[in-house]
Amino acid sequence: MSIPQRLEDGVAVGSQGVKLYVDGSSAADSVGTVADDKVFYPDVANDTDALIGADPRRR
Amino acid sequence: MSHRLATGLKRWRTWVPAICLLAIAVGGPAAGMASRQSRTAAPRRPGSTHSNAVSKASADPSGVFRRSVERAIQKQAAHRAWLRTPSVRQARRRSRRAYRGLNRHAAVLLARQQFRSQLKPLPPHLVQAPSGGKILSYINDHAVRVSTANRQRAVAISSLPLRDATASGGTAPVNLTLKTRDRASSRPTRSCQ
Repeated sequence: MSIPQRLEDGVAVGSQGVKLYVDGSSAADSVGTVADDKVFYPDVANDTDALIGADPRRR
Repeated sequence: MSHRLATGLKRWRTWVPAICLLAIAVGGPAAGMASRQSRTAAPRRPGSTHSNAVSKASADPSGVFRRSVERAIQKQAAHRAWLRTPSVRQARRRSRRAYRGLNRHAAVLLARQQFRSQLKPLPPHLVQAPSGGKILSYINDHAVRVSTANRQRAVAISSLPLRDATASGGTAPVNLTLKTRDRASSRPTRSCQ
């Protein structure tokens, strides 16, 4: 798993080339900051921040 | 030679659009017939708006998928309704002005204060020992030996891998703390593949 600094680059999962992208009006411009085991992206959309991390625990 | 080639190209310029038009003329009605046939042949469930609904229904005989989708739609509708309430709209409007101009690090600090549980780091071991106990050893990638508060021993088993191979050839517990390998991305220190 690879979490990008720029959200527009997408989150790479596994080795098969799968990438996840966040939909949002400002998501492409959002730059992340590493916070322990997660990356925090401020203002990805109106009133919205994003937090991305690996969490294998079942919810 | 170049004259012949030029003449040939000129001919192709005439022929290629003609072939394309022919292909459209042949493919068009056939494609239209095929789509009409599929429209008439595919049976529809009452109330369904998409032919995929039939295949999904047969793949979901117990209705688990349908119920989970309905729950998600209801949850989303409830969240939207909550967002439209006057007090929440006012709070959001106030929030937009209050935190304008925060840089990234200040935003993270604020998030740590406001969303403590979401930003709380994962425990160093994915499996949690019982209260007062501790992890004694890893039996294999999916099982650990733990001790309880009253010094009894137990085995905890996980369907997910709890440790992974290290670069030196040994094994170590999964560690999802992010490491920035290059400036463009971060990866977990040791993830379970």
